Amino acid sequence: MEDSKIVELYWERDESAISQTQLKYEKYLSKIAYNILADLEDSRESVNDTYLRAWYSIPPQKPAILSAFLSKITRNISIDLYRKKTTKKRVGSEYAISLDELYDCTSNEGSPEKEADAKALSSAINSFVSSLPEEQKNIFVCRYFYFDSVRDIAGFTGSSESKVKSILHRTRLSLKEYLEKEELI
Amino acid sequence: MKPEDIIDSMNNLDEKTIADTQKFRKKKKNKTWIKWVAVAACFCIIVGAMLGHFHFNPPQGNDPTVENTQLHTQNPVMKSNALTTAVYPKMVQYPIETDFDNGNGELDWRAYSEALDKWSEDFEQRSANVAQASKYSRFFTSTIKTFFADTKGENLVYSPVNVYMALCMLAESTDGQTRKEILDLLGANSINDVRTLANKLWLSNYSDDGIKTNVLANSVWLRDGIDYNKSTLNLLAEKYYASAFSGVMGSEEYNKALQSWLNEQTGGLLKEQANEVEFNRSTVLGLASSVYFKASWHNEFYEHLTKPDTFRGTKGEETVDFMHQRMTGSPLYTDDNYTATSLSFKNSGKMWLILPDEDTSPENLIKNGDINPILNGTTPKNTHDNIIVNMYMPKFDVASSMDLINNIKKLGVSDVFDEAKADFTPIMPNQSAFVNQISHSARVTVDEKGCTAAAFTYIGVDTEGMIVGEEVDFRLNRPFIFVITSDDSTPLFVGIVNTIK
Repeated sequence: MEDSKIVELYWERDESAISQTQLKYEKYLSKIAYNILADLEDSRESVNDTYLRAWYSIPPQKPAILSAFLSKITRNISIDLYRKKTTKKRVGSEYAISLDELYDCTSNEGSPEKEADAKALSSAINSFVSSLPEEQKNIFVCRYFYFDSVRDIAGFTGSSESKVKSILHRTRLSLKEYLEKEELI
Repeated sequence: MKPEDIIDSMNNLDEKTIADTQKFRKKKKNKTWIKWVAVAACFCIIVGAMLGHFHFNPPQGNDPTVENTQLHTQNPVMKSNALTTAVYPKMVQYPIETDFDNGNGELDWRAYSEALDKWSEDFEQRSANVAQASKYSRFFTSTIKTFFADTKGENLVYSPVNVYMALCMLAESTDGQTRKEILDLLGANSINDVRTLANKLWLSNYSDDGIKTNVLANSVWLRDGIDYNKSTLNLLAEKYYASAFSGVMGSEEYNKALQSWLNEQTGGLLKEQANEVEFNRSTVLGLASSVYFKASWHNEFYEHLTKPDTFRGTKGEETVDFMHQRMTGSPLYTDDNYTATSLSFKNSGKMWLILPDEDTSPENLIKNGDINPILNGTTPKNTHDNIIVNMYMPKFDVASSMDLINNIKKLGVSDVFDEAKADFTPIMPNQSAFVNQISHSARVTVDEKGCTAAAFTYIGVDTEGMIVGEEVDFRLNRPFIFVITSDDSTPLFVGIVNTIK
């Protein structure tokens, strides 16, 4: 079913909206949740919560790109769940690994975030990402939005894992430079 | 700042970027892909199992791999429902040079040219089967005009030949006024007319010789336990090359068989759409037609000339890849409201490309019948021969699905949709029925090398006030008889049960 039709179903308060969403996006969302949580039970919980949250936020919202809208919800819920359950060992969570990688482009001083700063950071990251060349952008978003493993990404690009790693490394360094220039770190 | 802050702020990433990257994630380029798919396949099976809905039966024991998930999917299901499988005419394969190695890494010219001669001979014979486009033109132009009347600015793809075939089979299955209305729409005087035209159309479009694949496939889906007229089924098999299946309407297994058939016949191009087609529990007959087409350009585009440029569509400006080719010897046609040219495929067929003038739109051209000459196999008003056409063509991949019932009603067909009037006696002598569903999906993709396209039409014939949802308790709570028989109906055991303990 087309996205616009599914969104219409939500607006009409038709419960098949959820099953249609599930049919079309279950696999896509499960992969994101699993990349973060590395646990099937938890992934399932977070994907199911995604449907519920979508049900309560459409309407009033009318997402233009349903997949991206849903992926943000799943990503949010999964990260929250991850943080809540930090005691649990997450072997192989791509989220955990990518967090470590991002130490490259942050400062050591932990500055408490105000909401205004968070907004500034979001818009800075948006313009940084959109300034990247196509392939570099895709690789960066795969890694830090979708939390795809380096190996998966190498599969998408058709290049070696070491090439992906070095592109990611380079991108993180330029992100750091960019954030410094914007005086965000 | 902590890494988490960056991660969190990524959640406000532009949605277009997220969606674009998702397209990129779907690309699978090299061998690492196989591994990735295997991992993804395992992942899906586990998740599928947890959520309790399978798309296929996971093989027992060993870890599933790419190969066996493929093999264990739909085919066995389809096989168990098959009654008859259509046999297509044999076709000589176009020889491939590498198959004619003389042992020293060189081409064995003699053997190769012999094979080539055989193919040309067969090709010429086949070319004699040309269907005359003019005989079908009334149907093509009237349906195109109706179906494209309101695109709402969306892409729309329609395969006239595909819908034509499906409706021909529907005409064969009906009688009286019901049939007459369909014949009128098809532009035919009698059912014999339809039969000859459809058969010609099938043969002239059938090609599977290694360079061009084009098959119009048909199938008939029957319901277990209903009487069908054998001679009509035979006729559908013979003239329409229609395979027949039988099963339990509304069961997951039978739905899957239909979806697999549609999916296989369309080369996997319409997977999503095929999986949405289902029988109802009240369905008594399903008619499915498909078309698959794949051909290379006569002159392929050079990949290095493909460059991004702006496409100004109904949804604003888009930057897309444009292929480029300098075409000599391809005429350019101009008419009052458009310019047109065509790209030929290897050996047969071409793709017409029609560009409306700035002050009009594709919908208007169709509505006003401006492009009818092209649809009818003639050429537009003015031909400019000695011209070089600098072709810039976006690579595209467009697909759409539509429900045709309302549109077909607009074209004067009504009885077949009316339970009180529809006459299906030629195929189901003892069963009242009416058409409840006609869905049509189509997709066309082009790139530097050529074009791949597929479409299917599914006509669902349902009934009311019978079998549907009826449940009968069968409780063996008093003495009863049992008979066990073998495959050939020989009774092996007979008994009476009067007491259980």
